[in-house]
Amino acid sequence: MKIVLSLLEQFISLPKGTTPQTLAVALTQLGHEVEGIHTSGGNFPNVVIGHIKERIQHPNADRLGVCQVDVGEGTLRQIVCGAPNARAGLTVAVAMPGAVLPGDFKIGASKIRGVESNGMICSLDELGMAQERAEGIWEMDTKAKPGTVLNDIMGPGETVMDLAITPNRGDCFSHLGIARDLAALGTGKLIPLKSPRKKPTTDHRSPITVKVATHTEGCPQFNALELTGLKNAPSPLAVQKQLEALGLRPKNALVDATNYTMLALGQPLHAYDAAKVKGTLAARAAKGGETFHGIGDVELKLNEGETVITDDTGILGLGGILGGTGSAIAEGTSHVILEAAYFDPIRTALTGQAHQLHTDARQRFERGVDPEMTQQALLFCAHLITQWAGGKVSGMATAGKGVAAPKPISYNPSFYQTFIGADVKPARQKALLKALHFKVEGRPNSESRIPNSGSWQVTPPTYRTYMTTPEDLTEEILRLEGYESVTPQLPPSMPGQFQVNSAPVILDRTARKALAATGFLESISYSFIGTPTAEMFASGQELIHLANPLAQTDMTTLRPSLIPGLISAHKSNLAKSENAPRLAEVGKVFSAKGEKLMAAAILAPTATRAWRRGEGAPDAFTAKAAAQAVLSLLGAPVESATVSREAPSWYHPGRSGTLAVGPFVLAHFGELHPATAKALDVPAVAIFELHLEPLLKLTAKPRPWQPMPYPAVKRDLAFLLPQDVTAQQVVATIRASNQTLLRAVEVFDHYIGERIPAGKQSLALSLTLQSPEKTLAEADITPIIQAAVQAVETKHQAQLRA
Amino acid sequence: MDITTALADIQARINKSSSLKDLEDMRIQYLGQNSELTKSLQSLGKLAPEERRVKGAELNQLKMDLQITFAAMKAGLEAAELNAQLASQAIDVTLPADPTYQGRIHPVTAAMEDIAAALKTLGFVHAYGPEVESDDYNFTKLNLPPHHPARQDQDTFYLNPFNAEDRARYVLRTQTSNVQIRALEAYKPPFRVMGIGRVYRRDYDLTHTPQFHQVEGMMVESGTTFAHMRGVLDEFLRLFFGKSFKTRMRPHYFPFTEPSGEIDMECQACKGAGCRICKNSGWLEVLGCGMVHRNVLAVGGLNPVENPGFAFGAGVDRLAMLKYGITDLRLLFESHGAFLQQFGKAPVAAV
Repeated sequence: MKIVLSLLEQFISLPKGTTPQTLAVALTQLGHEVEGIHTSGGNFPNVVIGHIKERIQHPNADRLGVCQVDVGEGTLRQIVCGAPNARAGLTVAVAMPGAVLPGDFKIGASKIRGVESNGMICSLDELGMAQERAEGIWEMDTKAKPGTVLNDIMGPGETVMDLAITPNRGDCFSHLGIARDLAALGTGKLIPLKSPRKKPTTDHRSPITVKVATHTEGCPQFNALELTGLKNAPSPLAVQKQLEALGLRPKNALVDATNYTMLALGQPLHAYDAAKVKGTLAARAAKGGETFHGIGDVELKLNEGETVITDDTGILGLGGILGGTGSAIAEGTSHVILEAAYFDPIRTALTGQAHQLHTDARQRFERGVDPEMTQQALLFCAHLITQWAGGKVSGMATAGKGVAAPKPISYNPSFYQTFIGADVKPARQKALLKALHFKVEGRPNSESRIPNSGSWQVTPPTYRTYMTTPEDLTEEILRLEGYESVTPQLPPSMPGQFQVNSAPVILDRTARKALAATGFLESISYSFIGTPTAEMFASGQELIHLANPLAQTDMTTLRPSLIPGLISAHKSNLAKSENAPRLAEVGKVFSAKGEKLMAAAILAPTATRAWRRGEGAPDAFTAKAAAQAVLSLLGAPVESATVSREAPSWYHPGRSGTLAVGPFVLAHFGELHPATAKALDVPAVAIFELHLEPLLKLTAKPRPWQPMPYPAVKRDLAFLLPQDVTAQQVVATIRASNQTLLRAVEVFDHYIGERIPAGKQSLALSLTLQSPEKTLAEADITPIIQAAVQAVETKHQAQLRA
Repeated sequence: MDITTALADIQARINKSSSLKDLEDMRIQYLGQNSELTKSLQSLGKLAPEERRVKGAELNQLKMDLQITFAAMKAGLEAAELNAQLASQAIDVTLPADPTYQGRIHPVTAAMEDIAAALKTLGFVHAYGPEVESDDYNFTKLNLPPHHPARQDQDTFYLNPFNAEDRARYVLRTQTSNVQIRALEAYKPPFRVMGIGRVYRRDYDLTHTPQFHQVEGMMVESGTTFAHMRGVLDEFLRLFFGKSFKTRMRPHYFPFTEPSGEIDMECQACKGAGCRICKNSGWLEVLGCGMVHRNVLAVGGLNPVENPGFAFGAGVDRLAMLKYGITDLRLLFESHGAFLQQFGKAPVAAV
């Protein structure tokens, strides 16, 4: 929220020497972070009024014009200007060479595309008088002579502070609220409100004709009064400047006064054109399905229970959020009904959420406005309107049973020491709470450390909606004392460890390191991808979609696989350099069944031109090797994994596989399916995916060390086999033929080609035999080898090759 | 010819030999079966005992001397031959080495590990919370009922389909604070847990990405105070950054803590003078924290009098950027190889 210093000072007299910077320090201590300080409508000695006498097209630039401007110098000044609205006849603000505009923007004489330019014609934002970028130069409405210094017309600038108001401080969405907090800290003294405090006394000369009523708990307090004989006029220049500084465009006395009251006191108000209100102005709960036309071309279908404001003919407004088109003030209206009500915060929040309406009124009502302030604010605003636009104020019509008073909090001041760990004497605590307008009653029992038995009854003011617990009170005291006043202490060390299962997180981190150790760069991509891509990787599972994705992005569905993210990362790297890195990611994948932790990697041919030994393009075996290396670093029993020739649909069906240990699937590896590659417009790559969570269940069993004092013997065998027999099958058959002495069976050669019959493959294996008891003799070895050969020959229609 | 002259003569010839073969021929000539020396030694038996003793000693000395000369010469020739062979094998070692793949963990992962290491020193252990979370765990149990205005500050991604079974509305977690609730449900105090991971918010501009990372810490233990929270957080920042920075703590609001605060660190780019990075404030927000709210403690059947605790949260990406000197948040999620290579950390030296 923005506050403007000149308005703040109507509520607080600040100590001498207060600067925006000292104020910012105080506000920060109070919990209102200052996000920026700037001057609105600044102080520009070198900006003057000018008249554009002529504009011609710039000879060298389509979008620029060359203007001749009268700035009261007797001769015309040539200025190049790019604004689309620059034209002869305008009165404009001209920054002369030497002027310094906000943002330390120094103006000088220069040549722009070869044409001399002696100054700049300014837009509102360039002068710091508008927050948003203006579309063109400022078309001034002034009778001041050319050459008049802008300061003489505008007066000094307004100092604006941008505050981050936390959601619990609805009371600080106003200048009054900020003033109250500053005064509690001791920065300045509150100035009492000038308008009559309780009942209208002087101005309600005309009788009120409108009747009000409320039939819903969504609006426990409803007040209105009438203003007649208005002559709508602009509000005073000083007010316009304040509103502009606060980011609002001044319109007329009526609109400006309601905005001004809201910003000053925190109470949103609404004005109705009295001519358009028929019968009783009433708040009630909407029936489901009613429709409402709100200002700003909003058409809503209302939900049951939402608070609406009605007259006898229909709905005039969505209570606490938005006014309707039907009763909006028409140009030249002289008779209006002004409403100030209290709308229930929860109801307002839920209604606002349901219709996605974000208005200043909602922001305040859902955080809780001060129920004690509604009538006062109504009178305050009515006074302003009559001051600025004339007319008479009626008496006030009110309805509703009001809002429950805040409940007292039982608080023992000794709780501060036990909870905060710093000492503030009870008398000081009481003084601080009182400075914040809390009512403190009773005497503390210094013996008791339990807050609920404390003998203070502390009642918060009506505008402090979120104050309910003793902890809330410690924060109030702490805010005024300063968080920095508490000396940091280290807690006593923990006796022993506690039961927490950290394994899943540690596995996630270890997997990232294992991938990096295997040569992959870790990528972090978004968890959401485009729906069509997600569907390609769904594996028949139900996908999870974002109900409210970001507009204009393809981030719509939670990724069912890490591969699409890696492919798009790979493609963006290819676009930057032909040498795309090996990328990997560890993260969650999602389906309706839940989320799973996975790792994945992409291996593309390297474009590095090595001076020797060109490395082939990565294929299924490159991916398999990397997957096994990573799994092995993660402690998986890779040597006992089996490989099947299946893989998800995005893998090349003949060049991919799945690694599993018992029932646990650990990895898929292979080449990306050419159809998938084509659909995603990516060149051929090899990929693998690792299921990490099964690793938590696979604990490598420790094996006892077995000394092997006798030498191992190696024998090689080569078989001619049908092509559909897998290497894994042959190895398993050989291993099964002798469980005791065969230590290892390794494939060392594989051949398919012209030198052997079609449909056959040649497989060469090396068998290692070793006994823990003796050196194996030829007589021991021969039967084992024969048994192995026989097993392979009978089981796989194999022939031993010579 | 006397023996000394003969020895000198033969040694001179040996030393002139230019190849191992030459040398071997000579060895056979002088020391072989048919050499004069061997023959003389064989014929010693025919001499008278006195003469045999003198002559024998002479001849054996000669044989030994020759053997030494041959051995020395052989070693020399062999060395020369090897050197010649090695010289012929010389390569240009200035040619580039074989290409290798240098893997790196992502700077955000490195930061997560650095954070975990710092918190581990302070007695915190990893706890876990899912990324797809029910509205209940992400908000309501954290003292954020559906109408709470703070929900508006966190633009939330809601998910389809709804889970029909438990009628819960599911979201992508907007904060790692769901770890607090899961810890309170699972563990009995005293405990200190941390949750580090991905979170999501519906926000995408220069300084926001819809996905980022947070660290959450929570300590619940009888006797814990606000002062302890300050002590732990100061120490955490010192351990993470490797040195102490000027910090300040100011009030803030979080629905799940009371009192709540934020810690700012002095902007290192301008040393507190104010610059573009810190939006002219001289400070950069690094942490949010507070004493766990009684409504949150109630999830674990606890209360702030008997089992007070504190919790804190910080943006990992922000901490990584500050620590490693990364200036644009969006770079973290673009997977640009050169960036990952430069700012990624070696897996063995991440901490």
